[in-house]
Amino acid sequence: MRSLVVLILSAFSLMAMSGEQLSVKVDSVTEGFIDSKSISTMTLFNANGVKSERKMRMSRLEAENGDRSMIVFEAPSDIKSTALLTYEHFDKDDDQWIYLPALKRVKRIASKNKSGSFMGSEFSYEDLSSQKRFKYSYEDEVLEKKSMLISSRVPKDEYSGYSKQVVYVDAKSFLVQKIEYYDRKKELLKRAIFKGYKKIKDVWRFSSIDMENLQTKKRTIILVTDESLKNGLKAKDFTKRYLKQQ
Amino acid sequence: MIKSFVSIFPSFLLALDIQGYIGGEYRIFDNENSSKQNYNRALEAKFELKHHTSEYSFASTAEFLKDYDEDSRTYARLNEFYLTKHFENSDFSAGRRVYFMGALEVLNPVDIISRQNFGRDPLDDRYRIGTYTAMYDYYSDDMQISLVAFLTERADEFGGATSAYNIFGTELNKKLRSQRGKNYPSLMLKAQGTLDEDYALDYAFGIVRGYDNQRTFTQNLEQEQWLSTTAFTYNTLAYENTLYKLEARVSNIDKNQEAKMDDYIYLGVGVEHTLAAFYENIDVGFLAEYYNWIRLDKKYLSADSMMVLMQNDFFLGLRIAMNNASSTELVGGVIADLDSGSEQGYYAQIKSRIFDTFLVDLDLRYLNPSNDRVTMMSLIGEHSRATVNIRYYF
Repeated sequence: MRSLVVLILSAFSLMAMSGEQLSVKVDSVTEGFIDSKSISTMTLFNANGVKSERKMRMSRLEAENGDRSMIVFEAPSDIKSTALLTYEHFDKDDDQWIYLPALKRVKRIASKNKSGSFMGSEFSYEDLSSQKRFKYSYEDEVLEKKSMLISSRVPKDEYSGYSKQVVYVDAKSFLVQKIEYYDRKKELLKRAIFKGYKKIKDVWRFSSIDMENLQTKKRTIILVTDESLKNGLKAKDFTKRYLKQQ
Repeated sequence: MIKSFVSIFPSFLLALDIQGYIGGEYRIFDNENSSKQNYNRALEAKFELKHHTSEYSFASTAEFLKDYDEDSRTYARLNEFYLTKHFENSDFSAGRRVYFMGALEVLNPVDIISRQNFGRDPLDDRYRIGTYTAMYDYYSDDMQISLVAFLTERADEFGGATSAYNIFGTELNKKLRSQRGKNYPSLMLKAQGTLDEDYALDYAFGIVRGYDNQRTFTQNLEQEQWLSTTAFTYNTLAYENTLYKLEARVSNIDKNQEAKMDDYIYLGVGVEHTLAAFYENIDVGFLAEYYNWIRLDKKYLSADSMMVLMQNDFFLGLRIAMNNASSTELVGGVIADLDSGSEQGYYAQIKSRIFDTFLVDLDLRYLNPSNDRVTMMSLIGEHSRATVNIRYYF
């Protein structure tokens, strides 16, 4: 009887939960990694299923006013050691530089528009940046369907490639399972499925994202391996000095 | 000592990061001058070895090019070989290396340390020759200060007499005449950083004392370099989807009785605007750049006489990144000499990756020289060329 009451009460509280409140819950289980290092393999499939691979070393530093990240490409071989440094800002445009090893050159990238494809994949720079809740405005209603909480959010960035994102969250763990992305014409564009969640140093991290472009039928799967958190990375590890040393 | 070196050496070899390419190049020319050869066939390779720890790093690059039709293009060179010791807030580095400075795309007036490999291709400044340097870099939270000593001991090498790009009619003398000997070091002090307020500005400025990057030629085609004091700056301002660029250098030449060149200003400004996801995944970039070389006393040699490539010239370019699995990219542009309405250079390149390890590059160029002035392009003469380059990367 008591468990039934708890169940009814928790169901009631979920029903009353707004999109904003749900996003707070989601952030609470995935935030606090402080810094991360990982190897990512990105497999691109064209509409005919022909695949192509990219491999990269990724590191990220969590920060109040925007994360810092460094991506160093390992494959394909012609872009090996090419490195991308990003300073995310929530109140203005990100800073972004690319190191081109063949030219020994660090070049700034204009990064106002983050809707462009990342390395020819189905991921945009926007998809790979942090998904902090205050980057979106939320529709009030949260739907519950088959143990999933479903919420809609609209990117605040006017240069976003999306008009809306529909987020599917596991009702028990508050981990994101799926996101549907709607293009600027309000048509369903892409679907990302998050899999293989595991807890590393008390923070939940996914192991793979399967992104499918439903309009072009192209797919990209990112597989994250060797991830470590709280490595003691500092802001100065994310500077142009280290960009050139990769 | 020897024992410990022998025990460490195998683990050092295992920790080395190796990368590079092996490739082939085929180039055809349609020359106005029939005495020039009309094709090149070449094999090329580049091997890079790197080792990095938190305390030190080592880098070495070896380059090879064997041209079966033009012997003067053939070379094998240990182009880079340098060691860096890392400290908490600074690095000390010594050895031979390629050192880049600049912000613009077509030409970098401030890129004065590592010279272009003119012998390989005078129309492609991606190929640079390593320079002997010793440098100390200090890093604060928002700035980098660099002190660099470097040698400019090497004479430029140009194509042989039959090369399409030999403008002298004969093989160039490889002797370099220097006011104080070729081993007299040049010194550079540079500061660079980022201002990140309402807009983002990457800035760099500095001063160089030593041999000037602009060279002259004697009657018997020896090369000459002159001592100068140069102040320079290069900057990139990012505003929304546009980059605004400025490069400038002011050279004050030590004028003695033999001096052939006077003080000058070399200036370049540019704009780069990108339309991300212009159509589906395709990014389109527009580039416009302007260059001017201004001599401050007209009794000395003119820019044309010193073979200055971009002097009162305007560049308009387009870059299309397909953002597909092959990373296909198309780049094209036109350079117009504003002093001579007729002199123009056209350029188009397409490159694409196949099977994840090969890169195919098709490059087309057309030179239409001035018909009323003697310029470097007019000495080369009207011609078009097409190059196919295939490289296997490892």
